[in-house]
Amino acid sequence: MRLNVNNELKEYPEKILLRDIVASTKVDFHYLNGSMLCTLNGKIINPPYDFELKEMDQIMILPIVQGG
Amino acid sequence: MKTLRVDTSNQAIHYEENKSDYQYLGNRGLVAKVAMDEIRRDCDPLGSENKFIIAQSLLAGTNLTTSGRMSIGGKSPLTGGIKESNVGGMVGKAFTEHGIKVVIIEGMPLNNELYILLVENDGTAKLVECNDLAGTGNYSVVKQLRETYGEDTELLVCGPAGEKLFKNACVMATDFSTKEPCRAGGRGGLGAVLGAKGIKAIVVKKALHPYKASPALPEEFKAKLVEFHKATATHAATQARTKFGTFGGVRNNETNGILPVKNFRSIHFDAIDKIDGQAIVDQLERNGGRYGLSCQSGCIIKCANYYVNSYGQHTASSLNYETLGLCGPNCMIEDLDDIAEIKQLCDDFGIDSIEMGAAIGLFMEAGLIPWGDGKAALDMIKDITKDGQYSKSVGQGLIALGKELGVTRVPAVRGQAFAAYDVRNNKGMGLSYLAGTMGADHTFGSGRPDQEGSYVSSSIYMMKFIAALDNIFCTFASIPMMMDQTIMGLFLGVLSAYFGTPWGIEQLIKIGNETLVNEYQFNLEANIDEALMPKMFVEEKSEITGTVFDVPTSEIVSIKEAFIGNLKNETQRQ
Repeated sequence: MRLNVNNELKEYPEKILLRDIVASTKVDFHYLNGSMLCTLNGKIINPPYDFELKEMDQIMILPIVQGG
Repeated sequence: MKTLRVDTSNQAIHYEENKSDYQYLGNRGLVAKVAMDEIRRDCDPLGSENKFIIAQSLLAGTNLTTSGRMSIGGKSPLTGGIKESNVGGMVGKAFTEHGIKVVIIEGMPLNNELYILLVENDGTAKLVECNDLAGTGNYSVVKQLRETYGEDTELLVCGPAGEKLFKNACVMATDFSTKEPCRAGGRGGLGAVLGAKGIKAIVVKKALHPYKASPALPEEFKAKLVEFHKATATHAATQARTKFGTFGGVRNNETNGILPVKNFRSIHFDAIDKIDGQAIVDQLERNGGRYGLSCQSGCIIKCANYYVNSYGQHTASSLNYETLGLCGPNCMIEDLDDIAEIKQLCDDFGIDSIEMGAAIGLFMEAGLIPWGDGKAALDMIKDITKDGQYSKSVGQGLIALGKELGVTRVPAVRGQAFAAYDVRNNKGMGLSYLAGTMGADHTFGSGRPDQEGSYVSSSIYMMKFIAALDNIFCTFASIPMMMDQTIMGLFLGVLSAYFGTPWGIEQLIKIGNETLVNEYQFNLEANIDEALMPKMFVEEKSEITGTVFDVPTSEIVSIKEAFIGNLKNETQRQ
């Protein structure tokens, strides 16, 4: 199944859950304090991300940095 | 580029050549340097000896994204130390197009007169008496002055709070997307410093012959800039800002006990669904609001928005995380329309919305307003703007207000209210409040613990790094490069092409260090009070994580010594 993850089309196994994608997408904040925001087809999804995904779903894993 | 010097005690105005040692400084670094050169450390922040400084970026006059942001600064009436506030909008670019790198406003009018500082199309500057604008709100002032001087003018305005010398007054700059005076130079009470100078507004007309910077390697600079902008604009951190502004992290911060709730009790906010990032985007889309807006031309971050309430009325630009946190859950207010209206009242009156949100939290703590009552909060703010019962004490800052109300839970360091981060669960931020130069300023640069649990080395690094970037552009534009070394390399390539010599990270850090050394030295000589963490954060456990703020004092000392040590070395060399 093809999914668009952070603007890249990639092949994933059928019946993959959103939480698997989130878990496999590491964000390195280095020295920054931050957290991840996940969107599915443009809408924010909150944990635990147990959605079954569909072909061509668009997922964004967005780093949100604190401060500033 | 040049310096514009304005003395409001005798209305003398002239241009000067920039000092040679300003060459490798911009924005915050320039504010610190000018303050060190010219401001008496023991002066009254609201007296004639303090100066209101405006400084442009190290790369002013180039197309580097957000390099049109400018810094304002001086001695803070709130903290008693040095203060710099970085402000977006278009007025910085307007100054730059006139070739003005620094503006220094000094003196004090003898008869409490109010002036407009007007920069004409040809760069001629003059003071225009405007006593008829006394007490007028920022939105009306901008409307009137644009009718007089042209719709294409850019303005920096001092609201009624600044005129009344509120120690938490801000200045507001006109914005690119909305044209409104919605970009705040918010923190530290610099609006009162401008008000004390008798300046109601600075009006900058379009330059006849706009200044353009001349990079040493123009073609390479252009090419590197394209690469840097492309990498930054497509980075996920930027895309998050464009869609969800500064409030994308509201929910995570609520979950982790960082969002201020009920005057910083570090408890959950049950109405988080009504104010989180998705709720705001949904509200904007539903009511005809907009997001993904730029506060200045050329910005690729686009974190601003145009708020329209449930009745289809535009009420505020631009709702942001700090205002949302302080004026929303901190006061248990869950109605976005009320929060936006509070922001609008603050922007029009010219008071820092962080300070006002914290003040409303104290009124609720004292039982004068019910928790969560947005309408009562709005009524209180309107009363404050009309010289009501609590107007004077609000204008003295949060600690004075707490004393008057008999409230001991006062979230402030060096008199400045906490931004929207509970320091029990973001200890690096709390440490930066105590060890930094600007009180509870969330933009100072905060670190993370190392393997031994110490925040010292990462805090020092972040403070230097943020200070360096504060010489150049918006910190939001720097987030991708802080997360991705490739983008960092592109940025260093931009600087190398601009200056015509190879730039590494060490040059950046050097600028940051110089900025901080000046700030620490100013505060040391000003003999300002020790920063103290309010007991509520040390003694009351976060209900969400069970933690308190417990960073040892030795870490504060170590961070300060990193810069005071530099100071000692500098002094010895001289």
